[in-house]
Amino acid sequence: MTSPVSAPARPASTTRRTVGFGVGVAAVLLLLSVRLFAPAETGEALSDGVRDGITLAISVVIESLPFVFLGTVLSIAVQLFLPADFLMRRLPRTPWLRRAVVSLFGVLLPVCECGNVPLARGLMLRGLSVGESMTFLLAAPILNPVTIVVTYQAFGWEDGILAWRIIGGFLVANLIGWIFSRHPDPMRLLTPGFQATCAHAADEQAAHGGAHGRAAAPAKARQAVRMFADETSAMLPALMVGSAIAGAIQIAVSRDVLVAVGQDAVWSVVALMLLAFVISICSNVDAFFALAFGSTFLPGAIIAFLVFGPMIDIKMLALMRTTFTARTLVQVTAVVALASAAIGLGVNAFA
Amino acid sequence: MSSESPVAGAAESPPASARFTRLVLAIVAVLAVLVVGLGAANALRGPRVLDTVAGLGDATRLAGTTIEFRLNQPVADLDASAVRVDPATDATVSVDDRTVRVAFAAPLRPSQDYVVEVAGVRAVGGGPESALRHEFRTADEVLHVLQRRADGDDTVVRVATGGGEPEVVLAAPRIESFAHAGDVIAAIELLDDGANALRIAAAGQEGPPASLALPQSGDVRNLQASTTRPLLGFVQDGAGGFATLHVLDVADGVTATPQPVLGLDGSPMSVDDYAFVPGTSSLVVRDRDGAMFLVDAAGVRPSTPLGSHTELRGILPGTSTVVVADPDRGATIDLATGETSTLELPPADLPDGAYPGRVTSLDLAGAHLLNVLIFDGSDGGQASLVARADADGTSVVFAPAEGSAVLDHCLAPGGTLVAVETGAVGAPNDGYEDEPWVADTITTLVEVDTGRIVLSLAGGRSDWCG
Repeated sequence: MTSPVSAPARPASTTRRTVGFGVGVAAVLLLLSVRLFAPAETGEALSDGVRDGITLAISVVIESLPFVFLGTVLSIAVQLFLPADFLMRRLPRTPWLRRAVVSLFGVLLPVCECGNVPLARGLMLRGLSVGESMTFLLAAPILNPVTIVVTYQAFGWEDGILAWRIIGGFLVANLIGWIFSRHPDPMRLLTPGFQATCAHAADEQAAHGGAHGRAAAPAKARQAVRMFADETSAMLPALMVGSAIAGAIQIAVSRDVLVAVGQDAVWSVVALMLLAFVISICSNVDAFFALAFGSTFLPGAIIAFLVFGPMIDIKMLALMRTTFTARTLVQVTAVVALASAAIGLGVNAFA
Repeated sequence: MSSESPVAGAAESPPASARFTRLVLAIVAVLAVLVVGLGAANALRGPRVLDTVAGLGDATRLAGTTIEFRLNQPVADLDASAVRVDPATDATVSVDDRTVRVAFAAPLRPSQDYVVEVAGVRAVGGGPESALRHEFRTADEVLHVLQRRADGDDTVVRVATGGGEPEVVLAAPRIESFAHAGDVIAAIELLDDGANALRIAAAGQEGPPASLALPQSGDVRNLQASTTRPLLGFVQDGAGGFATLHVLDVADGVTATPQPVLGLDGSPMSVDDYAFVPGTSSLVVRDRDGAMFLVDAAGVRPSTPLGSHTELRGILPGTSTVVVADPDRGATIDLATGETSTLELPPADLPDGAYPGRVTSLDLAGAHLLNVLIFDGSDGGQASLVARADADGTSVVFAPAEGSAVLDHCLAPGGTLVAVETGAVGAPNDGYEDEPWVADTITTLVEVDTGRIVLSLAGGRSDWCG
């Protein structure tokens, strides 16, 4: 693998990491000091809205964090223990069939969408194309046993919600995979930083014959720790920012307004997709969240919520921005949103 | 990365990049058109029916049967004029989120095709209107009559209002009375020694009916059945005139064991009369002292006192409203609320020489059926008929052919049909020492509202007489 972009200078990266670590420690100390030494009623100085926003943002972080770590660990495991050509040798050679198989990886790697971002990065570094990685990234949050079982628990076979979620997730993910497989230079879909990571990985493969597995155990452990630090330092700031934005928008957009427009066959689809985008809830639990709207919103709107939300939301965009360019994300978001809306509206109109 | 995505170091050529951009734009455009088209399809269509649930099980026997239209979206409230039922039937319409519910105010006619339409159904947010429509046919009502035969076993014969040949469902040497609940027929058989016994048979059972083991010795009488639950009841006379009411749950067939109905003190009460409450497992019981109680047949819920009344006249068809009579007035007791109301019967407009007989209440407004015997003063002849009287006047429901007389009338459980029993004028009785009856009677089923004759068959003492 070669790359047009050379890896950034190591000292600059180290300095940035040190500064970031220092800022993080300072922020934690500041918050601890406030919690320990400020009067108990200090929190009451904040308005209800601000407190709600903080609570909502923290809830998104708490909900996502385990999956981010799990995804990171799986990603590292894939990079360290999966031979470089393991996937390439086993996947079908026909592109569409290959993407179809990749979209079912979630069955074996059932992490929430936030955990899929580091995992997708790891899979790209291990040989998947950008289009295939996107297919995995969008399909896996839906086409995994945890999500399917939870959706079944919430809705059963009622209104075809489960079936349409599975079908919709598969179709949309493969559509995106097909579109971006047509790009003449897929590396340009990636951020310069991730391009550099890819180039670095390619250089390492070239240098070591393409196998992390040949390194000695202590070296492998050090490498795993470094990779964990790299991944989490890329993911966690994005998760924090995304969660903060999600919390802020939830208190800015009245849920009553969403519910009011949700009574309409068309606007209900728009409203729940907007809600899914804003609340950034994990796909493993979103079905129970949607169940609360089940009696008010139309089935098509619920399906659009359950297809669109796991693929695109504020938190996911923030996480995906660590890997893909803004232009790419705009294109992905437009196609996924329109395809999800079409599925939802189609169900409302005809199913 | 796979060969599909060559990681070329050089930037792609402008035409290739432009082609990709055009591809994305084309797909976005196609999807946008699809979304607009589907959005328009949604916007131009009113609410759609996803599912219709018609709880017609007891539609011909109970008021309040509902048809539920489950729609694809929440709809705005509807007023009563939105619903139309053919043939005309009182119905109300209500909306609960995505469900439009039509409830019939009275039991429906058996063996009848109905069309229910709800017009002007609109989504909560407005938009186009939809009309909901559901067609259904109600179940046949089944009538059982007793045919006493001088030349063989007496039989209980069943016939359905929807047509078909009468069918013998139970035969025994001498049947005093019978009742049916669920798929079980029970009959009181007169024995040679003057005593009687309770026989019971399942529908379609081959061979003679089984003899039900009674908990004590003594004659059995007042055999009744619930019209909506598999429950039978009978009174058994004991020592000192003590009359115990027993209930038999025949849900599992003929193997049930009679259970005595207990009073407030937990011991069997001495019963004068009783009636099953339709749609429930409860009975209204009047004891020997005139006190009335609402009793749970399963004995799970405690009895509820209903006051003292001189006579228990029955239950208004399809309701849980009891009709009672006292020396000074008739009254109704709503078992759902416990409220007692005076029942005013509009006086029937009868000619001179007409004498009202048995009265059967039809509704809370006082509409009722009555047997009428008319004497012709000029030639000494007499005629009989069944009339309906309400606040709007009096009409003839059924008048027998010349030479026949009305012996009795009994309402169907839903009150839409009446079984009129007739016999030849001057006919002899059937020779039974106990419970004699006119020989060779005919039962005619008549629609209460229209007087239309549905069917006639030989036999009498219909199970609708309770």
